[in-house]
Amino acid sequence: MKMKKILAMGLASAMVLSLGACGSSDAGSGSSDGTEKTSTGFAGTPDEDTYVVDLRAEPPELNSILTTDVASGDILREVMVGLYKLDENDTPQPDLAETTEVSDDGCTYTMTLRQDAKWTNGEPVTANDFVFSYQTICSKEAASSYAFIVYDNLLNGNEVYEGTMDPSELGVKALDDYTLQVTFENPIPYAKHLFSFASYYPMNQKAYEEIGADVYGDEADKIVTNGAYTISEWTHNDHITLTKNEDFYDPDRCAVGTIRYTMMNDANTRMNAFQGGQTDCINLGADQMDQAEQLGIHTESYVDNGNWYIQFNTQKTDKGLDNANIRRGLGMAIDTQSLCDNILRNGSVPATGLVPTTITGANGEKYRDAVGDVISYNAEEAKKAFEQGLQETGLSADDLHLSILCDDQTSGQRDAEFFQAQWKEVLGIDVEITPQPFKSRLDSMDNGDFDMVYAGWSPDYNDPMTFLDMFTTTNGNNYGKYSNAQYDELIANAMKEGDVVARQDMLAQAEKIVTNDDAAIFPLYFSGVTYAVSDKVQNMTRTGFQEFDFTDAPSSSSDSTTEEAAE
Amino acid sequence: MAKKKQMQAAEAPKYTPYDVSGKISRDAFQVIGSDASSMEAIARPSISFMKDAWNRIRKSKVAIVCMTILALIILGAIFLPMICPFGYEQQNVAFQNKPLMSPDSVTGQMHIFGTDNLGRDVFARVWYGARISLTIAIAVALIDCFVGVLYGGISGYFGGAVDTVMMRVLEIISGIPYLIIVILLMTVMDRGLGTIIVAYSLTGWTGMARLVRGQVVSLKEQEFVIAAKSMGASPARIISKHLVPNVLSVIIVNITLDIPNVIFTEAFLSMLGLGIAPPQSSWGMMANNAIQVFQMYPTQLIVVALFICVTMLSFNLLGDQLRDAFDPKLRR
Amino acid sequence: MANQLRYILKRIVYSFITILVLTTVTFLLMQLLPGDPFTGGKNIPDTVMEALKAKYGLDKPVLQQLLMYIGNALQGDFGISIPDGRAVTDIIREAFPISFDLGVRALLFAFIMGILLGIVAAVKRGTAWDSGAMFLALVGVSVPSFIMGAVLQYFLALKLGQATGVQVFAIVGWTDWHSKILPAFALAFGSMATVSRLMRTSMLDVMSQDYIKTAKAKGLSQRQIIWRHAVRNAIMPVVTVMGPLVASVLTGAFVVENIFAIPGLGKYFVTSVQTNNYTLIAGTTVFYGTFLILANLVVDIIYGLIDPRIKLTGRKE
Repeated sequence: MKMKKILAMGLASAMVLSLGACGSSDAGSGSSDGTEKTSTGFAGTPDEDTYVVDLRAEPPELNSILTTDVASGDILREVMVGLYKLDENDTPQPDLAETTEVSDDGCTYTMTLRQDAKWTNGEPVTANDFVFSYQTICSKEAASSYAFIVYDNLLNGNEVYEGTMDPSELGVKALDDYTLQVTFENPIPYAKHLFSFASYYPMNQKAYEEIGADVYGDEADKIVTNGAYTISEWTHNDHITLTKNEDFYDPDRCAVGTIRYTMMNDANTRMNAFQGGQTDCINLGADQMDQAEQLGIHTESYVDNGNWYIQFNTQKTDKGLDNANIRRGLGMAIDTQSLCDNILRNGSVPATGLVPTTITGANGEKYRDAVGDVISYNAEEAKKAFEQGLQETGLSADDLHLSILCDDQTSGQRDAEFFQAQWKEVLGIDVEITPQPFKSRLDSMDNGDFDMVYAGWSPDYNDPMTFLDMFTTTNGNNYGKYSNAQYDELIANAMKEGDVVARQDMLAQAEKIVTNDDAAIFPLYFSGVTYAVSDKVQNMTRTGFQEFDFTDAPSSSSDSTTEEAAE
Repeated sequence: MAKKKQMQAAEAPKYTPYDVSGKISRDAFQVIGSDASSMEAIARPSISFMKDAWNRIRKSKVAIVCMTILALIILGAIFLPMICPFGYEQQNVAFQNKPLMSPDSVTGQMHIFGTDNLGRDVFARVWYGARISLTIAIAVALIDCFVGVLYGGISGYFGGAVDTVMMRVLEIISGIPYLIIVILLMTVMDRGLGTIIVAYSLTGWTGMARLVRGQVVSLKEQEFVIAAKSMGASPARIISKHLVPNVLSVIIVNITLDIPNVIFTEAFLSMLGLGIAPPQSSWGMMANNAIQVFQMYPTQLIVVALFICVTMLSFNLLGDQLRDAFDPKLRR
Repeated sequence: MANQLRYILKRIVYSFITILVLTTVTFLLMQLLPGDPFTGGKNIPDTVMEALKAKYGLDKPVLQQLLMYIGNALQGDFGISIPDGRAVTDIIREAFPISFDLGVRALLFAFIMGILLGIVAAVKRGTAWDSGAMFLALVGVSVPSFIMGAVLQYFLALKLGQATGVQVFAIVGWTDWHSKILPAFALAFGSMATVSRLMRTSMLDVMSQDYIKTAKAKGLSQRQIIWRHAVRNAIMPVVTVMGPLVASVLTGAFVVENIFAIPGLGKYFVTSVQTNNYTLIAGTTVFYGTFLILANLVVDIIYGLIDPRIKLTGRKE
């Protein structure tokens, strides 16, 4: 269940962890400023100083060392502060880190910490809390599914995790109580995003050992936090209540005195609760858009980081899937605009490439804007390519007997049914749908037991590479067994390239090869979220990298990083 | 025939019944010989068990109405998907969630029950759904019946150690809660009609087995069975020719009441996302989809809910009537 | 008495075996599932995977795991729910009382209303009262609880609240009487129908018995006859459906809790089915199964004790 980097369709809690990103999403960032809104008659819940928002499902793990999912990240973002914090544009701003010095090789970050930060058990937040946290994650005993996000990056991380080096050799040092030094194995362009991310939060050693690693974060009274809000109540699978932390060094940051997160599993129930004024913010499903419109509910959308696509099994030569034209024909035949407008209806936009619009490229510009579109829907072209492919392979359309693997949730099946109808209409072929539960689907993909699969992908970090390195010949996520030497070489070179613009060019070439020229995978849409929000809610931020945030950016929002190399 | 012969015999010679001495005269009697056909004669016209039940059913208006409705639904499920201008999986995504009686935007053909959230014809889907739901229901009921009768029949007939062992096994199997185990199986197995039927009938037969066993145990001590046994009839013959026909009423009533339960189970599991694979439709699947949009487009739910309710109602009522018809003692 | 004790003992032993079989079947089915509990979107590095498996004991042979599972289950330990790291037993301990509360309310509701409806229908046989009560009962057996729940929530909680401005029934939650009536009613409706139909036939049966005629002949009033003699005897067969009704209320709660966002075990069960949380599915399955098996056992024993006509030699149908 953890670490759902491949997205599960339509689950109540899509488990996707995302590191911070620069720039706001361009499909309208989700920050709700009261000024834009006209009154809609949905005043929301009665208490003025309480927001009730729906999380849909229980946050499974409020232990920053173990956590991997979005819902837990939403809560931790409010109750914890780290070295950096994302602002409403997903740009990391220093928070606990007062000053940051970066070494000239770009590997070592030396940060002085604020001295007025406190844990809820009264202890001060010190550099040792970071050292303890990172060393714990990088140990097998902790059994953290996301351990690699730390040990793959920090100096000596792999050795410490394997036990061949002492934890003290790990690239994290407390120079004194309020000076922290983090050393990475390689220069990492997105290091500050890492520092804003849950796995890089500090952990109070005394509290962690008193409460016990096994139960830490399981109940409201079994967690010690250092953030703007504290957990005041937690009824499992029902609601979790956060209240403003008066001891916090920047209490003005809080948008509201109390936040109550509900966990309603059923879409209709959520809608009724919203209409009845029992909740202030709910996510809407495609089936509810008409109703929301009719009732005049205020809705907003944002593009999250997911990319949904069709991946072809290039080993299926008898079905023509080794042929790029057939694959491209199948991909281009799907009217993605109609898919987004008529079926998904949740703010998703047709994919114009593999890397979503939210991802940052060179020099802070968004990658998608810099690179432009590489794919699009075109029924005529699709037909041409498909027929040409048939000629090249000598197959007849009736012999293909293709099938598409998808999630067995309602929405996954619904979308697959749409593809099925499109292929019938444009290419005149019958495609069978094979819905499977998420894990079975992954198992089938792993065994190469599919023709086409309808799958989604969410980034590990805010860089195009997290999408593009998936399809190299040896990558474990290359389920379609696609192999192209030129593509492999481009990716390998980009990984070594120091110049960000040259690197981006290589990535763009690679993207065009894998999606358009070879069509090993065909991206369909960048997934979005549409939500209803009551008149009352102000200062709520919802972006691709922060599903919910109810705190303003740190008041000292000027980045005081000094680059030694620049001097 | 028989009566006529007796009359003839009686009409024969004139005689004086008594003589003066008070003795019965030999002359009063006459040897008429034996007549095999008259010995075997049945005075009342022969009415078979089924015929008797049928006569009673016929008099019940409720039963007739139920049977008519069910016959119409079954015929509709078989034939209507064939003649409907829309396929159950055929989409017109630009024509979603339309109300009753909407002419299609492309072909102009009438969507009698409107369209669903993918622009598919609800009329075609509800009848196709009837096909799937009823196939599941009837198949499961028949499998339950077959396995149950076999198991119960064997156990009851042989008795003794066989009975003890079989009943203990049955006790354990029937103790496992039905819906819980079905949910478990459905999460583990691949989707499909076959899977659903297997999962539903895996523990469902125990009730039938127990009923049949009870009947057989009481029947096998009766004279006609003992007679058949003494004439050397094989156990298989005795079970199939003598015992099963006598427990037929129990079986038929049970099947009738089993079917609505299966329809309900299918709907319930579809609600949990454990139903049939798309694009096929079943009533449960349709109800699950319709309930998502029911505040906006209530007709979608009403149509499929009516089908489910009417069918379940008809089977339930028919089951009650059949029970009464078969066994007057049960008519309380 | 010795006979009764033997019967009770026998039933207890069989219930116990059933529970063991259920536990084993559940465990083995979980083993058939593709992947393991940690299968995720990205190949978790092998070293991380090994660490996870070692932590949860999944690196041991299947048979050993089975024996461990049964052994632990006997002590009430169903393992750890993998995504949240909480003990399944803790989840059950926390969530089941809510489901139990809901279930008991629904059952009480079903029995009281069902018996009253049944009595009315039987006493006023052939009148509009009878037809009305039986029509209600037929609707009850034919409308699935999830449709009933959604419709009640929409009309009685949301629309009624909006129309009158007074929120008599809460839309979601499980806190006070405002929020407890609708879920209990939605859950009880089907069972109420079953009880009322059974009560009606049973009442009619009793009313035709000789001792009722005797009572009538002795000049007792209609009211006395019904309450003193008829109802008491007619209730007996209704008790027998207690077992199946507990099962239907329990499983019905899966959807009703989901619709009304009640944090009971049913909501957990549905979520765990939808998210493939296998340890929680297995744990709740064994728990529910055990609960129902024990409930049936108790009903059987009680029925055997209160009904002198049952000799307790075999299970009654």
